[in-house]
Amino acid sequence: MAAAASALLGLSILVIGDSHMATPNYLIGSLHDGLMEQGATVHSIGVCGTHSSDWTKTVKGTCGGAERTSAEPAASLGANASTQPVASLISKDKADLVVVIQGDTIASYPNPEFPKTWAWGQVTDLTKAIAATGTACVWVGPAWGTEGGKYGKNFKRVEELNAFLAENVAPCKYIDSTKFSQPGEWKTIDGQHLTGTNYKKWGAAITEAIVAAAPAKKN
Amino acid sequence: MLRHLFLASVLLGGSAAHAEVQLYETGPSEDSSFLRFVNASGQTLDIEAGASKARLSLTNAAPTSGFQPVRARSEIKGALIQGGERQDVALSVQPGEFVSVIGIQDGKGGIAAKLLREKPDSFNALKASLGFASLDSACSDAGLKAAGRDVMIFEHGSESIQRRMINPVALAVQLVCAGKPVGAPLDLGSLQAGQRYSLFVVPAAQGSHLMYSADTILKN
Repeated sequence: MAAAASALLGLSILVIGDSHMATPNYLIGSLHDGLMEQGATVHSIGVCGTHSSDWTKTVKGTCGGAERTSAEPAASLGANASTQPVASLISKDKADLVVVIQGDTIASYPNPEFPKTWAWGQVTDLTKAIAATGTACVWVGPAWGTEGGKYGKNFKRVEELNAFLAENVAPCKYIDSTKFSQPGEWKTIDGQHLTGTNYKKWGAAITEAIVAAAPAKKN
Repeated sequence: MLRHLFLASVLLGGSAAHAEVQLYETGPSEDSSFLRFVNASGQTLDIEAGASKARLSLTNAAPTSGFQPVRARSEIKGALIQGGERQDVALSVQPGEFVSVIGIQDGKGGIAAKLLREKPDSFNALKASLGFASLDSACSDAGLKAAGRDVMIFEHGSESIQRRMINPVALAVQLVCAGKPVGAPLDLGSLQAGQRYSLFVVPAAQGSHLMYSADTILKN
């Protein structure tokens, strides 16, 4: 397995996202670790409650955030956790690849109708900002979670959202997280956020999908 | 400048307010809505906001405004003004809708306002999205074909916009009325993936005319 373990060797990877990246034992733990184990230099930032287009500017999150650089542990960004424009982050990190963890915050689960036009604006704002830098990107959509809970997560909307994202994140490659498990298989603490064990499974599955996508070093 | 139009009646779209702090926000309570103005009259047309009286001039060189985010279901008032002619408009935009207010010649020397409402079913970053509507009753059974080829892109045009996804390629189109080509082919250039475009058949002094625009979205 030596070849597989060096699949991302030498790449600088920037990972940005919402609440799934904002707590140490969520994806900022498992995905960050997985990418490092494949040889990448990784910088992860999660700001809870943020929408996709918030990553084109500086926007304060609604529920904290975390940041992690290389092998350091994730550090809390506190209540004032804010997004940073993705182009600045890419420039500072000299990133070869951007990984976007976004979906649940634009799903509008309690709304009977998916706000497609609004979501389209959110997604294209961010993909255009990344594309303008010429940096490769991968967008990771939401996992099934479990139905109900305080955010009203439901499988029908998860399916609809993943289908929407698959058609709208280009030029980023899309990773449909519902392919990694059966509906409800990965248990959650609130419908949306997985248990620690399942965040490990999700992080490992995303890492494997990114390795399969075989991103190249920029220059 | 358009951003300041309808200041009192048009508020920018965005997330809904909540009575208490909502952790892990999952999107707005209703979808985004957009409004734009198109001048298909052949002469400079001013748009006046109902409340603020702010004005925007749409010239022949720049006849189309961008789509501005507006608050859904709110009453929007304004006027199309050309010389001494004035056409008042009042409308509301539904969640998820793109509305175009199009000023055209009314055939009696005045201006008429046509409203085109569109609620897209789908978006696609890998395709170009082309819309088509006919606002000219003189062009019967309006259609659009690929220039130089016998390939219809749209048929049976009406005042309801039709839309389809096409490959993002260089494209020139030919207006067809009653099965016959009208006017010269129109070169749309290279269509961009993820971009939305509109084509309108409008009346003009020389006969039916094709107007073409990229559907630009203005940011909040």
